[in-house]
Amino acid sequence: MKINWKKIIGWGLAALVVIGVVGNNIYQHREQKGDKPVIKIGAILPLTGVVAQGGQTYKNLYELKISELSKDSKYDYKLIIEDDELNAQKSITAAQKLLNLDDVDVLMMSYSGAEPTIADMASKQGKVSFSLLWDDKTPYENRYTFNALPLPTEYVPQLLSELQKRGMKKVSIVFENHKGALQAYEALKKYAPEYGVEIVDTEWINVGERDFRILVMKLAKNNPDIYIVPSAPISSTRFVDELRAQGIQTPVTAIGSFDYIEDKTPYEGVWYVSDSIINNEMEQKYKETYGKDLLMSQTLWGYEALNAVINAYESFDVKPTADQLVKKLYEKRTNTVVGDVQYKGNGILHGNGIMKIIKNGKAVKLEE
Amino acid sequence: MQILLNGLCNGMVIALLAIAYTVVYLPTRIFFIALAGIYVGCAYLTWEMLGKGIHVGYAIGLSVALGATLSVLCELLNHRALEKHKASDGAHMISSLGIYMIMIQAVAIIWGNEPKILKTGLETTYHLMGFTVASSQVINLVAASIAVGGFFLWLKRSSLGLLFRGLADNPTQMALLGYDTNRLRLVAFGLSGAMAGFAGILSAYDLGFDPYTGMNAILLAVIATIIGGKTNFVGPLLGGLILGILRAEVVWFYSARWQEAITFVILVVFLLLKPDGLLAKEGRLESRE
Repeated sequence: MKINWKKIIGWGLAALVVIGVVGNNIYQHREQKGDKPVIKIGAILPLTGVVAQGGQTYKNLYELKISELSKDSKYDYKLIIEDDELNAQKSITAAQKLLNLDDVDVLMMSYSGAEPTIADMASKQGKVSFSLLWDDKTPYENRYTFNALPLPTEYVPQLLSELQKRGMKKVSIVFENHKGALQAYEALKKYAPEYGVEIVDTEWINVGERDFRILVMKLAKNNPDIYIVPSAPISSTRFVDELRAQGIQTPVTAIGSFDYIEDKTPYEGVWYVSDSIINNEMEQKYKETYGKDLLMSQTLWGYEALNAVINAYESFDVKPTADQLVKKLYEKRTNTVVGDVQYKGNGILHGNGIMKIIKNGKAVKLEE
Repeated sequence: MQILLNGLCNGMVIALLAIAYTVVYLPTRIFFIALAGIYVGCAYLTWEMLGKGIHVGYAIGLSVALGATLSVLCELLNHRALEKHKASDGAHMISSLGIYMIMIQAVAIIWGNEPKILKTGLETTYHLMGFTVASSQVINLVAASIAVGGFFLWLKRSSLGLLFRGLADNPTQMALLGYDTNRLRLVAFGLSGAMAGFAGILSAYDLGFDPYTGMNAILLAVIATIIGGKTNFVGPLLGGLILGILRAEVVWFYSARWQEAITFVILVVFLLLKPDGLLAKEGRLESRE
């Protein structure tokens, strides 16, 4: 008997469409059947690609927060996570899926650079969103958007003050060509003169760059007192390794970068500014849950943002509107996992950084 | 001169991969994208075996052999079947892209997405006659040169190499003359997989790797082939070296972030002004139409 493939494929496709439609209806129906109202929280994270480690940690902490909820909570919180590989286009596709198909109530955005567009999409639908990107414009322009992390403008002065204290005047910067890094660079450029620091070189590299041989030779020509290294672990470690391999012993520092490095031993004595709060209790809890160290305590800001959303919802007996939720989120929160948290009134988080030093392979607070 | 040396070291690895790509492209006209998966897969296999305490020589040998096997399987299970159905070049390319994606997903599931590097600790750097050269650069340059040299020697001196040149030049005529072109195609795929795997290991040792490094590497290899000329095996070698030096100069004279952009500008320039590459063979007038 001759097999009619065209017919088989045609019927197969039709069956898939039917299963999709029916399945979706059953899924939606089941979701609404529970006793509590459902709050859908969408999260976009780089779960694959060069910064996957960071994305995975955020994911673990979001899931940890949801798992900590008591049975008495007023709402049933559902977390839907999408991967964007830190690719702006993929972020937008993920956001469209979360906002239009999943109809999430709150959106936890990534840091791919697409956040201004996504925040705009979410705001137009009257949905609250949180951004992990260092960007002051997005929350300023969208009333339903908040920064989940404090901006570099808040703590770059701490780094510059440390440079001044150590008599380091000439700085070379190597940053990834990325919106977050641009924000950090703008902050450095703005405050450097106040601290008598001169930026002698700025090199922009592609995200995930690994080959620094020529760049190191080029930057060494200006003989800086210190280098500020890129943020992705593979780039920062490769850059420092290349410096040392070429016999250049000039100190290095960073804005956060060394928080993300698993094996910190080769970078003993390096000090840097970080927006990551050291929270031993949370680090212990993370280790117990996931069997590994919480490398990037910066991700605790993500945990706290989700915590804030959940607490805000829990303060309402009836599902609040976005405006009610936003009003609640502006209230000061004390004793959170990242300390006291307060928004400035335009969705921008107020918060200091912390100077850290690598001691015995661990990042600890740099004592005055 | 230092920039030239650095460019040469990187260029030699690009050249090796470009030759690997051309080895399949010339006799089959297949845009073998799955090679990017083999490039990365071999790096991960070596990393895994080294982690298990297997001797470096065996680890590299086994990984390269597995790379060759994977490549041969691509021909047997995919391209040969498509060839039987007289599939278009586009169908070959898309299916190869599909295989690449499956490979990358498998690599990511097995080993995760975090970047890795084969070498451990700080490498030794030599300062000779005003040049600075790292041990990994020396290893890469020497190993890639031996691999490329060995390939050309095989091509020129062995009887199988002669048959292979015939296949690369005119596969239809080879078939008409009674040669088993299917068997020769298997040799092409095996050789290509082995060379790509070896290039992947060299690059992984020097600069590190993650599941996605293969695609960028294969694109560079294709550009090198277009620059050098895709009608012979010397073209990709020349193109690879030019690209390596050019990219090093972009970093030195301009900025690291423009490396990719300028590479593609060069590609566009070549496609517009010299589409057959620097070492293009003068063909019959009608074939140039």
